Amino acid sequence: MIDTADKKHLERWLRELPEKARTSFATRHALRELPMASGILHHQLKGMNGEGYLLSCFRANLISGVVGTWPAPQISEGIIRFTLSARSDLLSARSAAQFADSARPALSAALTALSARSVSSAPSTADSVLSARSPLSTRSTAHSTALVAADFADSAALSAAPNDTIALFGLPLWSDEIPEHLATQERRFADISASTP
Amino acid sequence: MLSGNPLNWELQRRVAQIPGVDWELGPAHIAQKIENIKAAYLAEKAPQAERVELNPDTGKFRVIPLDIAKPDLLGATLTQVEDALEDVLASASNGLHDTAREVRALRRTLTKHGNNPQQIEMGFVSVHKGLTRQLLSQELPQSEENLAFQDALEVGARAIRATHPDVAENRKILTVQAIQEMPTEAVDLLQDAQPLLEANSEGDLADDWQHDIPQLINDATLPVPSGAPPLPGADEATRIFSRAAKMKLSLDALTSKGAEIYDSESMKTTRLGLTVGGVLLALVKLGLRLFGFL
Repeated sequence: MIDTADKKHLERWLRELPEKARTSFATRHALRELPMASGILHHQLKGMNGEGYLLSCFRANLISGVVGTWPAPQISEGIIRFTLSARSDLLSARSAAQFADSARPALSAALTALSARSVSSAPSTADSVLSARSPLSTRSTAHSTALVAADFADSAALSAAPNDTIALFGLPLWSDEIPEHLATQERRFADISASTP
Repeated sequence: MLSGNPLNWELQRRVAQIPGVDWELGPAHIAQKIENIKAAYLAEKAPQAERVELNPDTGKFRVIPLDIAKPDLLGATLTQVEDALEDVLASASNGLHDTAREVRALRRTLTKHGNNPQQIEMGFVSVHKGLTRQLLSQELPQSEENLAFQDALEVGARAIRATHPDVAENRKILTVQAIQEMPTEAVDLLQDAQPLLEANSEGDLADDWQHDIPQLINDATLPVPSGAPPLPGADEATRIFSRAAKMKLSLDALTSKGAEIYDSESMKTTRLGLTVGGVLLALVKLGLRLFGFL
């Protein structure tokens, strides 16, 4: 099992994967941020300073999308670096965005709850926030657990069958708490591009 | 993407390649980098073998044409085409007259762009295209003079491309370039932008804004005889958007202090209230849209 919260472990594992599998993992990792990004964009998560987070989210999705669609060698070779860097950016941005709203009781409660979790042996604050996912919502704990589980499921599937990325895309991408407008967009995209995994 | 029209992948690829250090500088910096990438991309896709630069003495933009490779040959080519035109106009039975669009366009090319190989080639190709269409549809007779005029234009354009590789390369790009219909709101933007662009340009560049923008609006909005949807003229569109993109890149290259004047309150369009920088940004977006990249 891959500990996706451990950067060194994650990097080592990514380096061993075939390129297509790496790109798939990066793409799904980036796409999982969209519900939260969408919440910020649609002002559902009020009070958050989400600029940095949104930028990181945009970059992560852009890079994985471009590499998946147009495997330009110079980007393709750097997918590991980009994945790790985007992940790191997202962690920091998330952390900054969420701490900007630290007065909210829901955030405090989520962080307190997280301090007891053992996502990694010595979780950093940023990693705790990653695990918290959407602490501004009281439903965040269940939501974040589902997202962490999804990450683990992806890594487990790729570890077992590194070349079977089609099967990987058969796994759930998001938890069941997807904003309606995002779900509508996803359905529309699926209708237009039926052959896209 | 969601409407089945993904954003231009090449643009996305270029944005994805913005170095990590830039991303650390935040959204405003990245937005600026993306605008710069768009302008550079438009300048590539609407290529013009000429430089657009700021005249440090006047603070206005100007066009510096490509050096003429063989002045004698170019001079002879121009004379040949001009003579062929005069032969056509000498007889009313040839069907062309002084006010015909092709004649006006060619006269403008000969008088205004006589030192600019890129513009001469574009002018010749454009007039050749219009003339050929009218000959094929029998709007014009296939008289000896008309055919000689058509031939002189083709030979002239080929001669320029043979002696100016940049112009030849640009022709390859322009040949496959399809221009889209102009959105309604673009007319307001272009009309509003024209005085500001003229005020900040000098020489042929200022003169071309005055000619090209109304011409582009006319071509893009007036009904065509065939009943087909009106489309922006390729020459005017290429000149306008290529130059706007290059001006945008020039402004971006200035230090923030040097660029301040172009974003000042005292220099804005009358209706939309856009600064020079704002106008150029809007024109780059419109250009990318018209050329089908956005």
